[in-house]
Amino acid sequence: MPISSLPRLEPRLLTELGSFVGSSNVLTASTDLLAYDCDGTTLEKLPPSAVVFVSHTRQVSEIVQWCARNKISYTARGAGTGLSGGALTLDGGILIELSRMNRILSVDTRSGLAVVEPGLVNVHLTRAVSEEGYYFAPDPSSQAACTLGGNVAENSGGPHTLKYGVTTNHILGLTVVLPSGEIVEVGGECRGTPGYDLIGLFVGSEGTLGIVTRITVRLMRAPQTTRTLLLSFSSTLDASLAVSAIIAQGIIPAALEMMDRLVCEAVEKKLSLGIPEGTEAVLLVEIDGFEAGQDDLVSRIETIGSAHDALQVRAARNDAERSDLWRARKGAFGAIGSISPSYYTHDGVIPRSKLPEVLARIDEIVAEEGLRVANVFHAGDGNLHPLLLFDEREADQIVRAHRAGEAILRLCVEVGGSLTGEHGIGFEKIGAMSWLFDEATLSVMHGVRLALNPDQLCNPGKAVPSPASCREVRRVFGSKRYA
Amino acid sequence: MHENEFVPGSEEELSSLLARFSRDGRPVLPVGGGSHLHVGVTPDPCWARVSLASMTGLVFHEAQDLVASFRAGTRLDEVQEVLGKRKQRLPLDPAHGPSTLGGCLGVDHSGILSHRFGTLRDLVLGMTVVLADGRIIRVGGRVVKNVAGYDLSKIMIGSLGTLGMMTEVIVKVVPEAETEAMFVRGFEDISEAWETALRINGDQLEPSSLFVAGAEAARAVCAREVPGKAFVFMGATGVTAFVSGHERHLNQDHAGTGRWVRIEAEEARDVTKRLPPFFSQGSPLSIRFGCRTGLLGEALSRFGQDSGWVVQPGSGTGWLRLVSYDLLSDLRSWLEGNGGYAVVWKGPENLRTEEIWGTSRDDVNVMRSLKKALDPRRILSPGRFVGGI
Ligand SMILES: Cc1cc2nc3c(=O)[nH]c(=O)nc-3n(C[C@H](O)[C@H](O)[C@H](O)COP(=O)(O)OP(=O)(O)OC[C@H]3O[C@@H](n4cnc5c(N)ncnc54)[C@H](O)[C@@H]3O)c2cc1C
Repeated sequence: MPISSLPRLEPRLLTELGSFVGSSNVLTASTDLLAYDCDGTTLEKLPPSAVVFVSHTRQVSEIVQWCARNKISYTARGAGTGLSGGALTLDGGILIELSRMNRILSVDTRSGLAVVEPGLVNVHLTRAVSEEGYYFAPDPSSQAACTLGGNVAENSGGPHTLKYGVTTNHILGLTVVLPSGEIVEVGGECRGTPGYDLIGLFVGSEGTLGIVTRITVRLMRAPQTTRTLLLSFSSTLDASLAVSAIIAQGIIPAALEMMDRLVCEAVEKKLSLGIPEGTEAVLLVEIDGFEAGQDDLVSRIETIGSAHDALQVRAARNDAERSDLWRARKGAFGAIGSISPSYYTHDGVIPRSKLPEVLARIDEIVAEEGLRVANVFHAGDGNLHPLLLFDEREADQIVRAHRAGEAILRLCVEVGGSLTGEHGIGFEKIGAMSWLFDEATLSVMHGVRLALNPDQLCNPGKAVPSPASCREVRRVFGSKRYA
Repeated sequence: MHENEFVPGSEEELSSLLARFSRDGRPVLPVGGGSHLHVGVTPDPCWARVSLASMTGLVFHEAQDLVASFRAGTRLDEVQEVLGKRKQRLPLDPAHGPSTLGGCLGVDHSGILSHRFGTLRDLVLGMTVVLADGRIIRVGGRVVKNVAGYDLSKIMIGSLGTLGMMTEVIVKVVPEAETEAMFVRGFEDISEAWETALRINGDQLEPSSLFVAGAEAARAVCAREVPGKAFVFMGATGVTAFVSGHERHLNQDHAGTGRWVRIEAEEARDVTKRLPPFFSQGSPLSIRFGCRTGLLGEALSRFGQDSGWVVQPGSGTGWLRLVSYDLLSDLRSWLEGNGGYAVVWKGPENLRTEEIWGTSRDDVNVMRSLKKALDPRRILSPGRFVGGI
């Protein structure tokens, strides 16, 4: 975006904004604002008119009230790793930057909980409690950077959510600054607090119902043992049939991830995992928890592997091997950068028994557009991440990547799945919401938004379409890739 | 049948019924099996009752995906029976009597298996709801991971039918375990029982249920002659080696001078089955309460003299029978003062809103806004819920 067309706030407003947090905590220089013009969705760029760094709840409330008085829209931002454009300001609003609110306020392992600020980085929480034998279960691949506030807003998942559940299953209480500026506590320090399940509503609402300024999370006891297996297959079909077989046998591993040949090639270059020749797909399977009975589960998985003609079934022999396997999985997105100049991913979900059929259809869709696809995803819960590889210097390829992405998402919906399993609708997929939900349902969701956010100044244009917004409809898909 | 009872046979019929009541401003009480109408402020007898008794049965069961969908009027025992044909089940304590799936959802009746499998909010993937104005909405979906749109099923669960009527529910199910057992140990000292449960909770075991029960509650649910004043129960389900590993570990690390008695599958299920009625039908006054787990022990030592109680360290929640209503205010003020809550689960008919639900918290305004958005004419169970909603 040319600097001359950046959104700007009048000087009077800037001075007022500075009075809440100190002028050094407000960014307004064009060069600074351009650093905040996107999240993990880097092809779509929309800079804010200011970035305000906040340090406590009351400040957030004052700023929100000031926004309401001046009819300025605002969006919360954690680490900006979101993958649906959630932390973009669409109409010249301001960004409320929470990364400085990153303290752990208290830890109570006896009660299995911790109270934290939203800017805390996901993995920092686990690090802080791991010595006591605890951890925070939701583990997005971005966990070294993303914040708990972002996790709450997106209801984030990760490889281990197959067994342990997503963010909403691990939140007990929230402090929320509502769009009215009012500060409310929802939930508490235990389950079952009286009234509607507001935790269930706020978690996953993509920052459109208020700004979360404090979070009470559940801490989990670290598992006694962990067994990690790598199964290599000579076809994606065999690998996906093996996934279905594992689930159908009633085995719920801690994690059940798939990576296809392209991804394996990319990670092999970096990590030399010794994946056998001729591998078209690998499954990374982890069993964890109480030790007794694990041998039994592992041998059942091995049997399923052989029954599906696995080329190799290998168990990590020690922690070092295990963490190599996970480095490969969590670094997979990054590794793809070494084999393609750009890529664009989706996050569709399908019933897990449909994996073989859907993966085959995806190959066809992508081939028709003359592109390549790399798959690295949460196979156990049917949450796909097809990475469409293309070259963004060629406009035509961008168009084809978008077309393929759209066809894949339509396919997910058609087989009974969803548009997104963990990355959120954001503004990227807002125009696709009508494929999934009928008009009545969308109007009720919008009604819920208006009930809490009547002026729609709080993160407008995200998550739930407003009935008559042409702007949103045009944006069926933003462009997307991550580095 | 209640003289004002309506039993629609389809979503469309229910939709036009509710739309008409909305237009006429006529209050409606949604009814499942009718076994939990005691929860919340007593409904006015003159309201129209709308029953889901004709909207029953399986919609689909995708056994391979561990997902099933039922009409909300289906009785819970029928749900388990249908799933059982494919060796699966809904990991919810088999509720008593005529409880329906919709009814359990309405009161958020999840029981003690929630230690491992979560409460209903964690098991429901999506649902169809008919709103007060007749709109039929479908929220969530049928896949196990889904973040598209607001998750409105969450606010429906436990809403006592004040936001809409659930007509179809899609749930996660689990395979029947190879082995299922429960272990129980008695203690003479309540705080020793509690500390043991807390240690087990902080251990690396993976129980399906974990709770401490006072003598009266324990005797009501478990026929074994185990001596003691307080009892720790721990369930384990999984492959056989997993369950026996738990038994070994309990006896090695958590037995002290006592011993764990093993209860096998059928009998173990009876224990979980008998708990809900102990606090519902069988009791004139029962309280559902919660606070930070680390404080539950103190709550017990203050209020656990009468022995009709159960607490769960995993969730920081419990149930308690009270012999007299006068004891409630102390219990409640202690819990509320410590960040917890106490709600009357079953009590005398004439209690008012705050007497049942406790002191309103500041989030009640958010709840009121939701009520206003979804049922602006206040026809669905008006006044039955928190804050007079
Ligand atoms: C390489 C990579 C891998 C990833 N892997 C995963 C994965 O495995 N699983 C997964 O689920 N996601 C994954 N993501 C997506 C992303 O990391 C998550 O969505 C994450 O939770 C976003 O956190 P954040 O702090 O970066 O939030 P941001 O991007 O800053 O914001 C995301 C949304 O949250 C809102 N928000 C942020 N803080 C608050 C707050 N305090 N109150 C209210 N709203 C708030 C914002 O307004 C925005 O709408 C990945 C991303 C990348 C780049």
